[in-house]
Amino acid sequence: MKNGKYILRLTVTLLLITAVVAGLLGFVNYLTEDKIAAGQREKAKNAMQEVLPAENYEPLEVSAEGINAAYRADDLGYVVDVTVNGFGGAINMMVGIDADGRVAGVSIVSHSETASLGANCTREDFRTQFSGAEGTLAVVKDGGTIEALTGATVTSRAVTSGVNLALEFVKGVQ
Amino acid sequence: MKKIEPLNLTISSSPHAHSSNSTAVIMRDVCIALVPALIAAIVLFGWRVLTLTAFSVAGCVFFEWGYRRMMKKDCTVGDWSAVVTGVLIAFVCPANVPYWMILIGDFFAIVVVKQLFGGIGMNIVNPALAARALMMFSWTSAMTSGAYHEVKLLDAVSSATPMEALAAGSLPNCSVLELFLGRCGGSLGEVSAAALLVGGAYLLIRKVISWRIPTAYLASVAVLTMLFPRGGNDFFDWMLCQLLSGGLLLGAIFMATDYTTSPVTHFGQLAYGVGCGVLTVLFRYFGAMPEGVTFAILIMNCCVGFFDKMGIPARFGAIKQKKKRGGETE
Amino acid sequence: MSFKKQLKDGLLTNNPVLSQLLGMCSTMAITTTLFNGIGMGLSVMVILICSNVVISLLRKVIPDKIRIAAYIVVIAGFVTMVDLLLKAYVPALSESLGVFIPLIVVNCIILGRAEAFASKHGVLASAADGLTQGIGYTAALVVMCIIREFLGSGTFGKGVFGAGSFGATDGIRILPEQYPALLVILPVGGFLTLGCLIAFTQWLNRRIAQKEAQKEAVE
Repeated sequence: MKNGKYILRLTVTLLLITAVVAGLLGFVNYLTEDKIAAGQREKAKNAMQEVLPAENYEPLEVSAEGINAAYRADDLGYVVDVTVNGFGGAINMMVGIDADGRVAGVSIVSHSETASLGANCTREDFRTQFSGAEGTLAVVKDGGTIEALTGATVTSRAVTSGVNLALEFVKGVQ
Repeated sequence: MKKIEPLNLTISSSPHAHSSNSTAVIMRDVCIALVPALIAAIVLFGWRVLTLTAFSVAGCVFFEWGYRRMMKKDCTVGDWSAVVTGVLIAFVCPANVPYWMILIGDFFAIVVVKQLFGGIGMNIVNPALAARALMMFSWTSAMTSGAYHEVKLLDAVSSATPMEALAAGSLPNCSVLELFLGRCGGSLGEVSAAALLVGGAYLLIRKVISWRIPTAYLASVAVLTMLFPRGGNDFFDWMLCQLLSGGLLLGAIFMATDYTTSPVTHFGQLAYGVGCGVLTVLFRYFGAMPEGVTFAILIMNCCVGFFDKMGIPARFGAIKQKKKRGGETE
Repeated sequence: MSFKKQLKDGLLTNNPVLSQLLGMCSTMAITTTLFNGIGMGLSVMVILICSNVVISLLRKVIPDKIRIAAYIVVIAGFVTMVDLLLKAYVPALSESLGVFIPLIVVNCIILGRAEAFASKHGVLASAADGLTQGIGYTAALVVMCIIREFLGSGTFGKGVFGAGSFGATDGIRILPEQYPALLVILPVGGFLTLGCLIAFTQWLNRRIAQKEAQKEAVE
């Protein structure tokens, strides 16, 4: 008898504590929900502004592999959110393509490449290589014009393929 | 009758027979074995090699003396092991490495890897290779391809190192003879296969190292690269280039055979050599950096206890006790 | 015990990271920039104080058998609240620390102090304990950050000082670019730096204990 009452007491206490904590959490979530969502939108917009500045970004339908999202930036062109497989994992990038079908800018949003080798893909001198390019790009080793990073051929190839995906997508849309 | 003089016999415990061997003698032999490679490096890369090596040795000896003095322990500089470490650290760097970088490598190798663990004989990993790993990760551009491109090789600026070419799947620019003699890019000590082999022969003759580890290491690399050539190259050429390029010979002869960080038992040594070889090929083929010897040996260093256990010889007269059901004993 | 003694304990003799050797995982992983260090330290301090107070309030109510489960529920609640608040108001810190904010739930310091102190002392003392241990943790983190950032990136105050938006600033450059050792920012550097720091703290503690023993001998 005493045993049963004891277990009941344990259960009820834990239940009450959990319920109160969950309630408080729900309340804090309600308070911060909107701010967090707004922050995420702001962050995405900033990433897009970096590659192709515009006033409005209208989302488009995507179904191609590797392309997470695509937006039409007013009449100035398109911004494509691409994910490719790098050396150490997925590389997520934003590619801006202007109305003529040329690359306006490339920005690396997230990656897990080797520090001081593949991680140099975020450096400006590497990314600006893509600006103004069109068609299908390749690294010098594969017969193209993009100079790969020292000791990071796989990463360089991955970023190039990401830009190619974006270019292809835009060509398909136009 | 002549009086029998009492013999002056001293009573003591074994050992009663001594050879002239000591740690210092062995280490000095290793230094002598490294001299051909040093000379080759000076001929190929210029006088800076000599000052760099001397500076590295001075740094190692200073740190060992300084640490032992600061911790109020006996001075172990006289066993010449710091000298060997100093030379090896210089040998794994490109010829244009800055002096301060080698000094930090010296400090790490002697103080952190060796002395903090208890001094000579107590370190778990090879100090020179650990220092190379430290320098490679800390100052990548000064220790890898970019730096090698700017080193002057016999008064001409060298191009891509053989390891770079191999990592991309193509045979290196240099011919096999050039690789053998050392007229190609690479770190100080690794380029001249001929000089390293001469040193290795000296060590074998002087019985400083046994044939097991280098043979097992080089044989497993040879077999694996022959079976799986890359880039559509001829398997024999590919294997030969892989054997003669990079730090393989330096590692197999001088680093993997370090007494402290290699197994003692015979079979253990063979297995250790094979393990090093397999890992080297794996890292060279699939790793981020073109060279694989450093980490192959470092990882195998950590497994030495296991290899030793594998090779424990049967004790004289010992029979394997078979466990019988019901508790009967043999 | 007096607040002054608690403070000295938290900072030196009983420092959660350097003396008690708790919470080392987060210490080694995130101490690459000053921003991370201060942010994480303050977050853990807030969570520590809140969870200590609540657990101290409930110490007579929670039965012994389910105390660990109850503590974890409380701690997880506070960690999630802090996580949401950071995501909303300091998103730069949330991104920088990444998964290590939710990992505060299993940070041994918080559960350890709940078990060792808050469950046995009153509310005020527990709050003070949370504060002092939090200060000690933050101090350890900040020292690690300064050392690792200086040796590994050659800067001071990344994320706080220097050019750029708050949370992603460059920091004040002290060493030119080719000198810093990248290794110090990698996990290896974390282990090495923490080891040296713990050794130094042990030596310091011993000196202090010796001095106190001498003082008592004199009296």
